[in-house]
Amino acid sequence: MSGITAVYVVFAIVIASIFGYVFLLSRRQREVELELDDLQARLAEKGKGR
Amino acid sequence: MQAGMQKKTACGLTATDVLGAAAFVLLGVSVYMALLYAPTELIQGEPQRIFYMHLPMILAAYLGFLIVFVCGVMYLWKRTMGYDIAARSAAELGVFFTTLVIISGGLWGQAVWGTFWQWEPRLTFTFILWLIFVAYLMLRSAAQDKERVARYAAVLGIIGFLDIPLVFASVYLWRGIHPEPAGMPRAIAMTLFVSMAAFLALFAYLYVLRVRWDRAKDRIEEMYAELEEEHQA
Repeated sequence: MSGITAVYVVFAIVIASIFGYVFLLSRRQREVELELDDLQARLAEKGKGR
Repeated sequence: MQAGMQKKTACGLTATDVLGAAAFVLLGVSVYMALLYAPTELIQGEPQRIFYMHLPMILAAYLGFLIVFVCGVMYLWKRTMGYDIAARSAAELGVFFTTLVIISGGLWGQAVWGTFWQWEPRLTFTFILWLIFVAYLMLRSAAQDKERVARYAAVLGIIGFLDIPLVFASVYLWRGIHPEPAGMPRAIAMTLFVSMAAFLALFAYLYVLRVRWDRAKDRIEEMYAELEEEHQA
């Protein structure tokens, strides 16, 4: 691998990994927020039922 | 308040959004400076530009492991789960950045020294550091008893952090292929400074996202426990 190719490959890997990690964290956050909303609704429902 | 909710600024963005935007703008500026502004180094040539990503990333990783260390000590002292959440989020970021450092360093080494890997002191100690914190993350995901895991993880995190002084000192204590730090021209120092600011902001942004997710996950576990209790009553 020539010098400048190595530079581009490293920069591409680093930037893609950072975007990938941010995407993964955002998706995980969305999933837990949906689950939290659902649980809150279920708890509220149970509270009303008593 | 729900784990995901945050106060918004006047233009409808949260403080985390602003931090994320600042981090990505700084990252863009640092990439521009690394590729186009910084001069080509005389000895290594073009591959030396990898340095502008490599060094800030290892510093971000060390920051993560420092948080693990401090929070580990605080957890063992106070037994507050908040310190445990702060530590496990930082450990994941530390492993993420160390992995990128090992890959970028290997490609840099391939271009300059003609080898991706050598068992020389700094590389070996960095690899050990990575292994310890991968084990830390595996320990966290494998065990069930939360308090016991937090205690073992705190001890492992403290031991793992003690490898960092060895990584630092290894270029002075043993002969290897890693060079000793030297002075640098102004344009190179400026580019490095911007890159370090970019990776610091990025670390802060990723850390906020990661801690928020961990807190939400813990809240979900608590709510399931509440539901279970109500079901039994």
